Amino acid sequence: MEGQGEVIGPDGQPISKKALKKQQKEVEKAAKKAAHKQQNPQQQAQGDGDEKENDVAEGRYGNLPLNQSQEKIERKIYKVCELTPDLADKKVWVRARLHTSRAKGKQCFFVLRQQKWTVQALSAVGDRVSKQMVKFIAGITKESIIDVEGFVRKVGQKIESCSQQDVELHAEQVFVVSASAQRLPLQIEDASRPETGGEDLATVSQDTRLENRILDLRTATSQSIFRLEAGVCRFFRDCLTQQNFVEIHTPKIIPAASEGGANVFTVSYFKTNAFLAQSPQLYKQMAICSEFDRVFTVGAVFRAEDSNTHRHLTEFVGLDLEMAFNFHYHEVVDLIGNMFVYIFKGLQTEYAEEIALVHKQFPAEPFKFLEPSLRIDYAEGVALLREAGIEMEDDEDLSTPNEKLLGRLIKAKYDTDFFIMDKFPLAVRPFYTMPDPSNNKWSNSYDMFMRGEEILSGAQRIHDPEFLTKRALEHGCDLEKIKGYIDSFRYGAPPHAGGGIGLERVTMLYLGLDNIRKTSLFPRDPKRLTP
Amino acid sequence: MASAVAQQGSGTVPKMYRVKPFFDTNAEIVSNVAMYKVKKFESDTTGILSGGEEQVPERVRKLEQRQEKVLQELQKLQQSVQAMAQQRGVNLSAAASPTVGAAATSASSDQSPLQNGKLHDLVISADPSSAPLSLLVLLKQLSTQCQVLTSTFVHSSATDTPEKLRAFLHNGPQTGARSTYQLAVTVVWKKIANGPRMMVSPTRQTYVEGEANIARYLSRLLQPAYDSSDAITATQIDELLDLSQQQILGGNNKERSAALRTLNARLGKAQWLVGASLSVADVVVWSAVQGARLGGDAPANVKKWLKACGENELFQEAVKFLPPS
Repeated sequence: MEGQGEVIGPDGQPISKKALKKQQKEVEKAAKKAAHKQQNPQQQAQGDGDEKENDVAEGRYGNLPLNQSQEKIERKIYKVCELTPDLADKKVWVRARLHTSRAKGKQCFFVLRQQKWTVQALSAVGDRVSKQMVKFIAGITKESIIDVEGFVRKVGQKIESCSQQDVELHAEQVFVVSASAQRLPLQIEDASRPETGGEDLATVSQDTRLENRILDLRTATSQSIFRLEAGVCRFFRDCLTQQNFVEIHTPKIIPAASEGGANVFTVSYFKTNAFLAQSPQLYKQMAICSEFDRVFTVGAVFRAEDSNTHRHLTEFVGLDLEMAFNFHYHEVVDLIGNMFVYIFKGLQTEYAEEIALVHKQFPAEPFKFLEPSLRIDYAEGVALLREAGIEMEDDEDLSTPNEKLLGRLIKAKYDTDFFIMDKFPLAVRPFYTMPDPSNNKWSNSYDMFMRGEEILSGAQRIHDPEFLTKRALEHGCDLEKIKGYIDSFRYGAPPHAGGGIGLERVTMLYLGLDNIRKTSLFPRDPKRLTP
Repeated sequence: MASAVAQQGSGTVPKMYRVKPFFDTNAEIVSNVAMYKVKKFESDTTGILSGGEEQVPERVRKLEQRQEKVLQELQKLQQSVQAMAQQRGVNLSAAASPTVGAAATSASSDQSPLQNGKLHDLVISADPSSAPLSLLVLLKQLSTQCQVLTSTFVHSSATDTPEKLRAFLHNGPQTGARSTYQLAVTVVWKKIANGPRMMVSPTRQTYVEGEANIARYLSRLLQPAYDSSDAITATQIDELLDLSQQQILGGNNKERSAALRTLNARLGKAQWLVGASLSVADVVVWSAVQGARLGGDAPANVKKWLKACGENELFQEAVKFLPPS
């Protein structure tokens, strides 16, 4: 077969049969294309015509140049939550994020999102909107910030998937203010989906969420959680200010560990070392001795505990209060109990929408409480546990599973998620706790629980320097390190008591969430230092 | 050479090396060299088998003697306590002790679950629109017999509780620790659909539902309990309690008027519903009638009886919380 009709390729070598076949196919293809083009010259002309007749929507869409404050434009921009049937048939400007878009030929439906409100917008090819504009809108990346001008139209059928269900925005102008990258590390829709198993739709794991916290925080659920957390802080401040408390700010760089040497962060402080405050305890008390009578402080608390649990962070926000009382430390306990009731009531009335939104993604029982707050003795709590079959000593500390069981028993009996336990055994409390006057086994200390987990630990503090020294020695504390603390009580200290709560933990337990990282904006734990 | 001969005799291939066995199979096996020996603590069974006393070891006999002595001492103690109690006129049954539990049923006819030093804790949840007035009357009665600690709470679900109800039970200042009280009654105003209910111990039981049943429980805490003495009286009281719960509180108009007629008939013959004096039946029926607001159109005898109840000293607390007519 050699030598018969061999074709010489461009490189001087004979071309193989396969290569020959390939060449022939390409030639056929080109011929077909040319024929096709010849057959449809009219359509071609039309297409060309469209390209040229772009002017229909020219200038009414596109990417805006980078905003460097080039000009001041007087323009009212509406919020998505303001788009209601009252604005029907009005032409409005809206700036929001592009949540989703769906193009179908001559129409494009897209959803604009602003925090937890969404509205459907629509652009259809017509005399004001061109095909290129629709194509442009369909091509805008998700999460980009866009300016849309359009008419607010009432809809016949409610749009169930959006928060603004009665109206639709018919877009006439669309500009991209700030575009987002094409590939998102997580989809906002996936992050907002409840994690009920059995569905094939994707959900986002906690690790991914925390790595891309900025995107995770955009979900309506996260927005609600942190608004509610702000509410807790606000009610805390309001309630205490009404009761004549003064807000103070205590130092966080301190010379000696306040709660015990093990869980404290060390920082280099010029030529020596200093520590990050584990609690504002010492300074709260010093403020009381400085004639402030009632103080509270909101600030960061640093605990170097290597616990990777669902309820521990290395840095969290502490809401602490301290108060001088007249006769009995129950004056302080009652005040703290009333403060909690105030906070819970406030959340129940003013943040009902946010709570409902959070429970849509993370279902939980609504929080129940009694007014005035329920208060039981430690001995009663132990009796309840013993009745339920737990064997424990009278003055044994409550372990975490026992705490949870006690919470469930109290819930079954009184139907409350919040209660106070009074008169803890002295052996399990720190050295500055005042012992019970009639029985040295007990102390004037109390813990408060939400949903079976401890949120506040407080007590009447020892305000006599000699007694304090004695108790410190009994606990084996190094007197040198706490000399400054003991000295602050030498010049007339009133009897006082107080306690501190963790903002993130209270929010987590109020909403019934399962992990404290959901309620901390950028959480810090032994394994996470960024973002 | 000798080894080679031996091997040939056994018929094996001549070996080059031979390993001496490192264990001596003829050695003596020392069995069970124990470090410590435990004395046998079981007695020999031979004595029991033979059925005779002669083989019973010393120890068992001594134990039996000790047991006899202890039982005798116990009996002596019990007698002296009884004597003391009679001397001082103290009602023994109110301070029941577990060891004489078996004997107590003969000594006192009823045993109250209220004990000194142990707080008996009841939680009653009720809807603020229908306050259980019988509770107040019974509590007044109970407080004459033991220390009662009362408190009132408003649940987060009952947002529209009138101010007056917040002091339904006195939240008086606690005098002394909670353990000095024998009975603690807590009322929680909550949104409940079907009447008040009571929880005593969540690990052991479910709710006690209905005002009549709660009244039954509370009156059994009294000394003497309403159903301890006479079976006939007890049955009559029970019948009236059921009447109040099912017909007055839970019935429609026809049943209510039927109930009122029954009451009228009974009250025609006597001043109180059961027996010669006020009983728990009067309390609960009064509370039910007032709660259902039937006081206005009641027949004559019932009206007279309602008035008598209202003026009774035990009812004074409850009268303050009567719904406006």
